[in-house]
Amino acid sequence: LIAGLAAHGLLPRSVLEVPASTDRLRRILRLMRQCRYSIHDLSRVERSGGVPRFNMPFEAGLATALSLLQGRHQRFLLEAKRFRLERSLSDLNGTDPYVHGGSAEGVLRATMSLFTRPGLKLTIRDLSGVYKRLRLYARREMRRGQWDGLYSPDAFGRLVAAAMAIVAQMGLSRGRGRRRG
Amino acid sequence: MGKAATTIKTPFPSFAEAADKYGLSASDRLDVQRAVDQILPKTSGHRSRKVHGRGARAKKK
Repeated sequence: LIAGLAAHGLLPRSVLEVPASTDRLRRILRLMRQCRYSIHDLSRVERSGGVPRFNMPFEAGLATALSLLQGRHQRFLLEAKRFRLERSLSDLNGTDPYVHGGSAEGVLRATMSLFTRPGLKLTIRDLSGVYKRLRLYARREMRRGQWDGLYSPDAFGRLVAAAMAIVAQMGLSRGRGRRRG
Repeated sequence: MGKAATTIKTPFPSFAEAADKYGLSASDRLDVQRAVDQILPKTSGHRSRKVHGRGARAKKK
């Protein structure tokens, strides 16, 4: 997702930035308000210590409220399987999630569907190129023992910065990021 | 009369902007940039057109 967003000229932000504190909810909402788009992958509702984690659907709910109250914010949902959202979150019936099939390419294609605009000529090959390089970078850093895990604020920040550097070096931010209005 | 066309540059966030946003120090930035520089040459080259494998050897015969 980081690779796909960076290639489209977007700066990914994450709730990982928000420290665990009593003020966390307010900070998450503030972070969402700062962003024009939010993306929530509802296939990532996993168990931790035998307990399902509801953070993702909860944050999707916050973003949905924000988009209903403030027209400026756009909330997008991702799912791994078709028609699963109808069963897991029927309140959102009529909302089509972007189905990625649980693959990296599926997620990259979802970002293309969401953020492709006239003048930005990106191909799935471009996005895959960014993704492969970013994955290689992450693996090397993990092997070097630099990160506690991928889901830490430090690792996320470095991943985003690396993604921006990769996009720039691949020339995706030059000449292609122009649109006609 | 044709519609006036204007070209608007979409602001692509830079490496520095991302690093600022995430509070990366100067040495962290150098570290990330160096790591990325090491990755790019390895994967950015075009694949050789030379055909490898048993199929290619069979064709030569």
